[in-house]
Amino acid sequence: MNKILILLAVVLLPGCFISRTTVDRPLDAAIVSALVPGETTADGVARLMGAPAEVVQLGRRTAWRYEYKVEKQAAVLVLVLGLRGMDIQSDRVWVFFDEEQKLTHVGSSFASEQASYALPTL
Amino acid sequence: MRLFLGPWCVNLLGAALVLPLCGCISGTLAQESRHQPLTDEALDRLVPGSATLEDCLSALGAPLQVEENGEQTVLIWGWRDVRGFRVAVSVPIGDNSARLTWAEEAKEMKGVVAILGSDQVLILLRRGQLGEILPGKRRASQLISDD
Repeated sequence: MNKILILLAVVLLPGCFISRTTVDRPLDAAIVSALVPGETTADGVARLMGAPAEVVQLGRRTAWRYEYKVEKQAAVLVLVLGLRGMDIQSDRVWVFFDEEQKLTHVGSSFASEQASYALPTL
Repeated sequence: MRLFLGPWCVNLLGAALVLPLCGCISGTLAQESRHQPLTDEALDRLVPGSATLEDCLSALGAPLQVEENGEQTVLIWGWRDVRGFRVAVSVPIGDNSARLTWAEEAKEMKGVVAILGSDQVLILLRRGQLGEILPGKRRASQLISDD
């Protein structure tokens, strides 16, 4: 009887996990708002924000990408059936420079705080 | 009534019990969300021929990716929100990473592609499945003449 109970407990005990993974450092909206097109230079952006995650050559111009990515996962597994949810959100900033390495445009989106551990509902 | 099970039947039953318990077979209801979808309202404000790079960035925020395509600049936004049930059979065969590259990830996303000319004015705005609307490096001119 005990063996059966132990077996049932092992088989029926649910497996579950949550995980949070981040890529790169959080971006500071205040620093981004301090970037002034027409004034800030590439050196200035690098001093304020550090090294970009990516540099894209656009003819003689360049664009730099900064991104802080948050991935949240949650899962529950009972026997061979599971529920799994994954949410990836990010803060992103693209800065564009002209051929003289002067800032021309800034685009930013901040959504990393919206990442959630939601499981799918039946 | 007594049920007699032959050796093959016992092996089959054993495998049927052991495989799921090892995590080799599983059924999962999965939900996956990536990034925030763009609204039609924001997209409708961008008119090819008059909207600029600045208009695109202020209306849609930072793109996921920026690419050069000849003299054109391609801005790409993407998102994904799917759920479904799947049955998976898996056998570990090595140290393979489950991470997807940008290109693999993009194929599965809905999104928007904005193509700007060398004067930074919007030429084309496409919405749909990124795998279908992303311009190939050599297909850009065809893509533009299509619309």
